[in-house]
Amino acid sequence: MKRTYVAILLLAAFTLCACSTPPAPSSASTAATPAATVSAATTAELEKTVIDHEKKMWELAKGKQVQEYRNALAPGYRGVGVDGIKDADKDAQNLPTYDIKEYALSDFNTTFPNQDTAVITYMGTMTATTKGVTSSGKLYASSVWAKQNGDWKCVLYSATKAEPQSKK
Amino acid sequence: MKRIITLVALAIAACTFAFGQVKRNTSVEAEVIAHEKRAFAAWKNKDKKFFLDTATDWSQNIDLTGVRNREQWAQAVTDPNCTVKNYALDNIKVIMLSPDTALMTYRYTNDAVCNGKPEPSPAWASTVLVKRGRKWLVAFHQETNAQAN
Repeated sequence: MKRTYVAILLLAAFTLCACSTPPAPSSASTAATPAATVSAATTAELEKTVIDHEKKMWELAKGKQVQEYRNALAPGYRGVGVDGIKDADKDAQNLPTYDIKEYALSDFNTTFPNQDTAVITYMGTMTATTKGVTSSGKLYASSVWAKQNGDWKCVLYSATKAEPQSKK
Repeated sequence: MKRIITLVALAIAACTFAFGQVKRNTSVEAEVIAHEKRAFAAWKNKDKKFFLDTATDWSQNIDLTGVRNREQWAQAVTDPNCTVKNYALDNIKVIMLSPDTALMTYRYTNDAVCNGKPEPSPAWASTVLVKRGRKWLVAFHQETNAQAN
């Protein structure tokens, strides 16, 4: 009988341990930037990779390649802009209504909250037409990319039109 | 009979613990949201120290004036020429990118005046927070308002 109780207790202990194991992090590292954990060369490679992804999104948007654009967005994606917050489907569906005539991106800065998450900030200038109205200007933009199942996916895109006035 | 009772008790204990894990995720989201709400209180109270203490030293913050680092942002949001009367956050969504990295988006309205001009309202915001030790720290924050776009 004692053996039975010991077996039950061991089973219970195993069950509790299994339940209390936290979800596996998507990355083993919790470094602020990869520079803290990986070589500078790897950091540069990572930065180039995510910036290339970001630049590709602009080309896809300009080319109105809806499906490929949509495929690059992660589940739970949020697009933050003038008209509020959109999910992935709505953001992709909006592409055909927006004619990007020309654009230029600069001043990229990338940080890595963990090894599988990148935050990119940059400045853009663009001329675009939507609903028959052409406008051009400067914007401050950002994207958050997350590595999911080996692929970088866009989790967030935010854009703020630049204005020469103080805020707050 | 005793064995059956013991097994049932253990099963209940295990299930209770398992549900506790689900709750813990919810509580992490609640922690993150509470952090953001404290930031709004700090904005209203011009608590510069809060913004310095609760952001990473590599944080990036964007509004219509550009990209600012932690110190620049703390200075800007506690501008003595601004008065914040009221604010409200809604449509808050939290996505956990890892157990210690959270992404939050939301809409906020405010009744605030800076240099005699009302602040844009509503606005939409996004924030990335990272947990370091027991503290959540802002790694990234951006604000986008309807009027400026």
